Amino acid sequence: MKLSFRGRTALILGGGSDMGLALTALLREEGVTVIPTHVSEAGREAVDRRFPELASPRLDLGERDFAGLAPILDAGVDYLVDLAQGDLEGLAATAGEEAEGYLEAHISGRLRLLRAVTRSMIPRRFGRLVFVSSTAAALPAPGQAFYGAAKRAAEGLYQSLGLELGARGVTSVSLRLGLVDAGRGKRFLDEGARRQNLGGKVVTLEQAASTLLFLLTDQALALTCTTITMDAGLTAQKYL
Amino acid sequence: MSNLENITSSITGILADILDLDQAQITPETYVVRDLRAESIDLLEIGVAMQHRLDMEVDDDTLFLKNMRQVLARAAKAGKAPEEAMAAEYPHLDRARIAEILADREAGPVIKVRDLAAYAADRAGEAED
Repeated sequence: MKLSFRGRTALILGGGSDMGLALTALLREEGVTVIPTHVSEAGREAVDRRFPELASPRLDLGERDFAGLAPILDAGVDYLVDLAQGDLEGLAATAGEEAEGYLEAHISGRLRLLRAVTRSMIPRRFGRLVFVSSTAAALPAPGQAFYGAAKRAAEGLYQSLGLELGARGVTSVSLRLGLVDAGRGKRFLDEGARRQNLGGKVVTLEQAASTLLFLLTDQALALTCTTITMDAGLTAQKYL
Repeated sequence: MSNLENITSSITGILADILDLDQAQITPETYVVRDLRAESIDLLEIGVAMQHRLDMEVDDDTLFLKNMRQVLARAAKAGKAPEEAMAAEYPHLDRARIAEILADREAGPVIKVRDLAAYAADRAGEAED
């Protein structure tokens, strides 16, 4: 099967993450121009080390506006891949100001960003929104109250945007990933004997990035207004 | 042709394109929702098209008077005249138009083509300042 890409430009939020870097490499092989954003200095350095020729704008969902992205959005963005997600461990029962700020950034801030990005897509009659979610959206562990809630809320926003803007050529899909052997997933797996105990129910970085690449192809555009789970069977069984 | 006439012509062109209508049938006094049957998603697209074609930042909430009910409710609660609250929130509307809107609002969505033009002219004026 020959895969094709109608769009030419991809904005990757969280482009300095392992998954962002892997996807950037794959997209560039396909001739797509990639703009990887970063939120931390470590993210900026990671992009710079791997792709020194790429400009990486800073983007923080917690900021009120995204003026720094204006020239990019004015020029036109075809693909948005949303890997932006901060860590905040905590219990819903003990939520405080930090949790409120986290939800404000990851839900309301994300919505503001999506509003700006889709405005760039509507006049061009094409746009593809891909949200990288987590199995924690449906099955959070204790301590993942805010992370899981933010992911689930974001899935809802992406689904509705696909519904509302589908007639204008904008489609959306969320990919719920289980344990990925990269980033925070790798740190989790590296503790104790978890990797062995999970019996291989781990998604590799290459699998995750390749699937994201596929979701951006013309062939995958009918996967819209929906959420797909990719977790190597982690959440399919009753007990581990 | 005056600047306002040029802007009005651009806006009627945008409305005709998006709503698939004959531009000649759209006048400044045409209601965008009541007469042209524009839906929420159309309003979004009209705002985006104005932003691109007229090269200006567009705030949909202000352009389409989306928060008018809340503005009037807050004014009533604070004992403030509705005309004053509307003038503060929507500086592109003149006093005569605000009075019309307040008298007309029970009949349905009040936004007219001339309101879009007034907003765009106001923004263009700001840009020149």
